[in-house]
Amino acid sequence: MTWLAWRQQRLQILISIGLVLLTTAALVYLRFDAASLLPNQAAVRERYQGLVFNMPLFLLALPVLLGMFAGAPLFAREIEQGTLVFGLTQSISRTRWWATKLAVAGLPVAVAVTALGLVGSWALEPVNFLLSSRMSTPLFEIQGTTIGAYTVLAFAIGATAGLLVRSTLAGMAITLVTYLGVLVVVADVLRPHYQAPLYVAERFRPGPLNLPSDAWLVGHGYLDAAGNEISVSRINCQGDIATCFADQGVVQRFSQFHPGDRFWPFQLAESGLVLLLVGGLLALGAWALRRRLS
Amino acid sequence: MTEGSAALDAAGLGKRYRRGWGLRDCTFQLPPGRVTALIGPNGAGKSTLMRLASGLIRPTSGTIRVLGQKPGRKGTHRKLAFLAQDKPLYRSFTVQEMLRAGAELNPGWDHDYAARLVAEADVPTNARIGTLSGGQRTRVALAMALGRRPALLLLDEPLADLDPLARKEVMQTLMAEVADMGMTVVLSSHVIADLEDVCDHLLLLAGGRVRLAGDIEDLLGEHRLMIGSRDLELPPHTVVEARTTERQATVLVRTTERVDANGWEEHKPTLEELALAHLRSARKEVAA
Repeated sequence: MTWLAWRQQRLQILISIGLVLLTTAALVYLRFDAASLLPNQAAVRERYQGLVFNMPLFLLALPVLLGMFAGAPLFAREIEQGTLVFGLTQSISRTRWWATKLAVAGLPVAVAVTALGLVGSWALEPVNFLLSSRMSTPLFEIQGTTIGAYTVLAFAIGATAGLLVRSTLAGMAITLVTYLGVLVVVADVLRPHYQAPLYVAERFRPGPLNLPSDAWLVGHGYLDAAGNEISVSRINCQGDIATCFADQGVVQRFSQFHPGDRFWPFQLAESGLVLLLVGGLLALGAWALRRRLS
Repeated sequence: MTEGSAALDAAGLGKRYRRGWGLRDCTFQLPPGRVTALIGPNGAGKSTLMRLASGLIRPTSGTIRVLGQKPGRKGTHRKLAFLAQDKPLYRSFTVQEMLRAGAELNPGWDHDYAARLVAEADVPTNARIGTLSGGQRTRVALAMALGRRPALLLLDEPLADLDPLARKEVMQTLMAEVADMGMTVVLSSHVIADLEDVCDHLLLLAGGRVRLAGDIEDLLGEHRLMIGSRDLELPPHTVVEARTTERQATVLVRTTERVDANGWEEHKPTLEELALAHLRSARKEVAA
């Protein structure tokens, strides 16, 4: 069955892995080239500013592209072409047929993208100063272990959606929409709470917050003399901001943030969370396989 | 027939789809070693019955036993082979790769036998499935089914969309193998003429129900086809169906004896006449 699954999916698998390897190679080149320019940050900025701005978007799209093209057709195409009937009327159990197809099509790509993520974290070190905190979207999702986990997620969404709706095209559309939904919810709602953020209050002064450059700011505001949070309006201020804010009762400002050294614990937490979701999707697929298929 | 000796045994078998019952309250046994014609109009439940037997779908009610066993989720019964109507094969595979897939999926795969069947069909083994003609494709699909060395072979409309020459070739191959292996075969078709020469057992479905089942010779012997003037009185027997044209009446009655009614001409019906009369009468019943 392994040979059969490989023979059916080999084109997608090879194209996917080729794409991932090319991207990895480009990142390794970036690392060595940027490192050779340092400590001249201006030179690095000049050469890589544009690339570093666009690359995260490409890397953010990579898992969902792989999921759409490797996951969604996995079962849906067999249903559309009728070959499902051939596969399920041989001397092999339904579950083994399903699991082998998932493993053969999914595992190589998952391993390759995870390697890409780990290499990526290392390769981006010399250009990190050009980027915002690597704990915020999209930089968090495109490196470390999360990019691999998100690839597995997109793949599982695609495969299960294809099984449920029996159409490759609809499966792809569902993959895209669901993946983006999960991405937004996890980044905006869940990620700030993996650990309680650090809290710093200081006497109010205008100007940027005094935080470490790799910190991820998740909240900030103003306090009055009693230490209560107050909302202030900048619109009616004329002249000196400090005076204007002081007139509105501002005494202190505070910020809540995650320091940069929480990157790896957060990576593992988010990867675990995403893999839990994958488990749920596979359970749904296994249910559909037994109850609904043909 | 003793318990468990039937190749296919259905008891109160029913399958309900969202649009309604595909098969309802079917009870029958197919004896081993016979070639059964599964006849019925489109939508009669022929494919549903085969899908139930091969374990692709599960019954809503009742049971079906394949060679004594209920189909499960562990794959189709080792001794059953099912060839679906659209002859599903992997289009991008070569014939050789298709045969390898058969070996991968079936522990009891007889590679030499399957390869021989393909060679006899003059299908080049390095040709892609997608490039084969309808006849070649059917021959390869048949080889895929026979390579499992089944004791029970289910063929769903195997001759549909084949040209007359290919129909003949496929049927010849099939019957040669049946004679060699002593298989039980179920052939479905809505073209009765395709089945008349090769089948010795009948299962007639209409509207999801069994209308007639049994040995074809016995069934033909139990019916008389009466032709006479339309003014004649109907014979005093169980009338399956009576049809009249402007002058003449054709009546199928169920009886084992000669009717010998005055003025009627009496024939033994053909399989086609028998099946069509029962199907038309079933349709009238549904309409009434």
